[in-house]
Amino acid sequence: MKIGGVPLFPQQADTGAAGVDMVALVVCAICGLLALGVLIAVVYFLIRYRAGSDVNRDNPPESHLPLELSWVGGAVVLSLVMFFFGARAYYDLRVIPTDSFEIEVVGRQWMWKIRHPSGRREINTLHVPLGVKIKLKMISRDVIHSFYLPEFRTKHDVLPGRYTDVWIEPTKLGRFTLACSEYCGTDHSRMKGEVIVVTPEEYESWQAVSPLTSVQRGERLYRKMACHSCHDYQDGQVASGAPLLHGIYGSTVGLEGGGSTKVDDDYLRRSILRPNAQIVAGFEPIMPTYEGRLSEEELLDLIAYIQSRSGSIVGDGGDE
Amino acid sequence: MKDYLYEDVSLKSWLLTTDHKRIGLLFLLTITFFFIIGGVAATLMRMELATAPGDLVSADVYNRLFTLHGTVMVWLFLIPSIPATLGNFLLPLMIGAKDLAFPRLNLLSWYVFLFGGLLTLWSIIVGGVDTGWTFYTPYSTTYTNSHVIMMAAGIFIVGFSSIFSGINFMVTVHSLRAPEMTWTRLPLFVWTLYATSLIMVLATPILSITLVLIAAERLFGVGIFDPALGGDPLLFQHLFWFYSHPAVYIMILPGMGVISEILPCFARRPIFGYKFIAGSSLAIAVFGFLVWGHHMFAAGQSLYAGLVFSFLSFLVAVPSGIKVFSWTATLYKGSIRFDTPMLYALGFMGLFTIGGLTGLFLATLAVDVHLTDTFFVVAHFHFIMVGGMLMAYLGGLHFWWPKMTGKLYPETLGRISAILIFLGFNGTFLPQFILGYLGMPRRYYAYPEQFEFLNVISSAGAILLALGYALPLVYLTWSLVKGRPAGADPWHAAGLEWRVPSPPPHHNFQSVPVIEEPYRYPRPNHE
Repeated sequence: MKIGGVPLFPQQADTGAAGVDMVALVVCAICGLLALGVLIAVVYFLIRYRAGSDVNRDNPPESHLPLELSWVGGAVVLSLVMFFFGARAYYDLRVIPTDSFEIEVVGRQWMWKIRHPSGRREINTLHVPLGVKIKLKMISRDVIHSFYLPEFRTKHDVLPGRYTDVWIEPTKLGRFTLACSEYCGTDHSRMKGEVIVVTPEEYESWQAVSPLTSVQRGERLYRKMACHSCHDYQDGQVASGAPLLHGIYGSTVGLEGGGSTKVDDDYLRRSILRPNAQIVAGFEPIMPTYEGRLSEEELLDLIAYIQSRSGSIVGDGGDE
Repeated sequence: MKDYLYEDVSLKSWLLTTDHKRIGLLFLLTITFFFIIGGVAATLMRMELATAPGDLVSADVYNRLFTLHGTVMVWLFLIPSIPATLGNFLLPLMIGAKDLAFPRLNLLSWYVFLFGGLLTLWSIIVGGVDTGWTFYTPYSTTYTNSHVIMMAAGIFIVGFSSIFSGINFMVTVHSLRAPEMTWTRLPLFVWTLYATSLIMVLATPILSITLVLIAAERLFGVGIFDPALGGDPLLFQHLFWFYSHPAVYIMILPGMGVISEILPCFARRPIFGYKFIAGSSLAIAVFGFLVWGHHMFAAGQSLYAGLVFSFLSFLVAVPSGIKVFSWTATLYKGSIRFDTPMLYALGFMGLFTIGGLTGLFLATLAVDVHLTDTFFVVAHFHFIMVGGMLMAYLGGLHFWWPKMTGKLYPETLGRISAILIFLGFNGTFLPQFILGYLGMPRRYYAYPEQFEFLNVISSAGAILLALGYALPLVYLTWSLVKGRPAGADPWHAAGLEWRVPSPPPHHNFQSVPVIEEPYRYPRPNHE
């Protein structure tokens, strides 16, 4: 929405955007009415009871319990209404649909590196297919950034050392804003890019031009770093005292010293970088640390490969 | 008998004074100095943002400017603003005491503040800090090359000043009330000082510890916040906001107290809902500790933590609502005069209401995801801290100036300044709500062309605002020399502080005062 060339309301480019705007409108209506009520009362009292006016001022009330309790109650009820609407829409924003298509984002001072499942990479632009649910798996190489898509009404901080995610479902073709909204140093305001929404067909042919998928890159790296010599069958035997990685993704493993954990992206990442922190029960701490030897991109490749060997292959994007 | 200003005029008597009134004035001078520094930084930022490209200063300088502005305004101006100046001056007078419970601790509080403040300033002079006032890790611990440790040390030291004042105020309220000054007869300003002190004493140590941990990680590589060292950056945010959200209430509660004093005086009637207003101050102090996670809805905190923090954040809004409704009801059947303090108080009510209600947008989970870290947030907290607290501070200063100095200021100029600030403030910050919803992130040195028009309006508003602030600086100083004598009670106000001469004598009261209820407006013998 623009008035005289000046935009006053952002475009909606996501299935969730109208929902967020609706909640904002509900809050705006409630707050607007409250503010208007207070304003009218104050102005009316100021005029009517200005010094020297000829009005009845007998027995000004100093308290009025029913009135006071009613505005406490009213405020609580209105708060609950706003809380409810906000929470419901937040749940939709934060819970990633299981059937979404995954694109990886690595943030660093001061650029966004994007990696598509086909293996195609881009910097500061993000090509996405129209009408497809897309999960963005994000991590930072240095400080905290925040991946902000105003026209999609979503953002999430991108942390070093841990994966976070947002999901979108573009509803409009065109170019939209990508910005960093967590202060990250000198060129924070230049850490921006564009989301380019294209038709699924265009996306398919756009991303097809790539030598290797991330799963393929991961497999190559897996061989190169000799992960297989401990973590795979060698001639029908487990080579040495290491957990088998085949089918481990998504399972729950017991930990040495008690407790258990779900094998997810974060657990795999930690276990590659600092293997001795959380050892699978029954194994010895013999794996060397890979901290400083693998980039965030390589870690993503390795995790994609390990995940691909679990039956639930997410990220090949073949049917999109 | 000589008043506290002229009892002994030597420099030594000022530097070694234990008189709460003189210490209040020392704080007043000190924080005015810091306010001017923070204000100059803000002016330069608004000048840079008047055009879309970054052109006036470099990006690094801009980043240092907003860090300087935030740090100085929060810790060296807003936190001490009302408690250390008006609170120091008025608390003993209002409860019928000769001084605070620990007068020497009070003086120490000022020296500690001055030392910490100058150290903070020194870190800026030798090169500045570019982390923002929030010091988010791992940027602040591993990546920036600026003088983080020195500034953190300055703020660490300033924190002790807060703790000393808090302890002093609490003990004073408990132990030095005049006979018959029961809890339900305390002026509402005293109630808010008490609630503020509670937060100062309980929350400030968390900030101190957090700053020490930053220094430990930066200096010795102890892995606490940086994941590369085995730490967790979100831990920092939890610790930081566990202090800094309650700190918002340190900054606004005393302002609410001032408004609760001014309104009944100029409406010539007792305050409406004394018990609810007093109780809501304590409720804010307690609930304020339970809502820090609302700064982290898009930061990586769990979904369920987000739900709980959102719910609690709505609840903490209720006591603020109670206050606004009670103040409105106080105008009913009043006999309202529009002197300068009243104009400031009415300005406060308008701006604080907008600030509070826009806070509800940010407590609403899904909306916050879109708005957090944008200019909407900037506008919201400036409405609370500047529109609210600074209006209240200036209102209080104009209300008690005759008491503190014995002089009257030119009333017309006072009214002009109140109106100018109100208009300038709205011009500056209303456009920023729209900018935020459009998606302009905060802490941006350069921004897309399409946001320029609204930024120009904002910068133009800032010019009015700056004029509005400069005006009182001039005429209040002028009034010290040329102002007409005020007399003990120029506003015909209730409250013990108005029963002693202006300026008050060194020991405040000649004899132990007799207490009726506070706020007995209209006062029978005066109208």
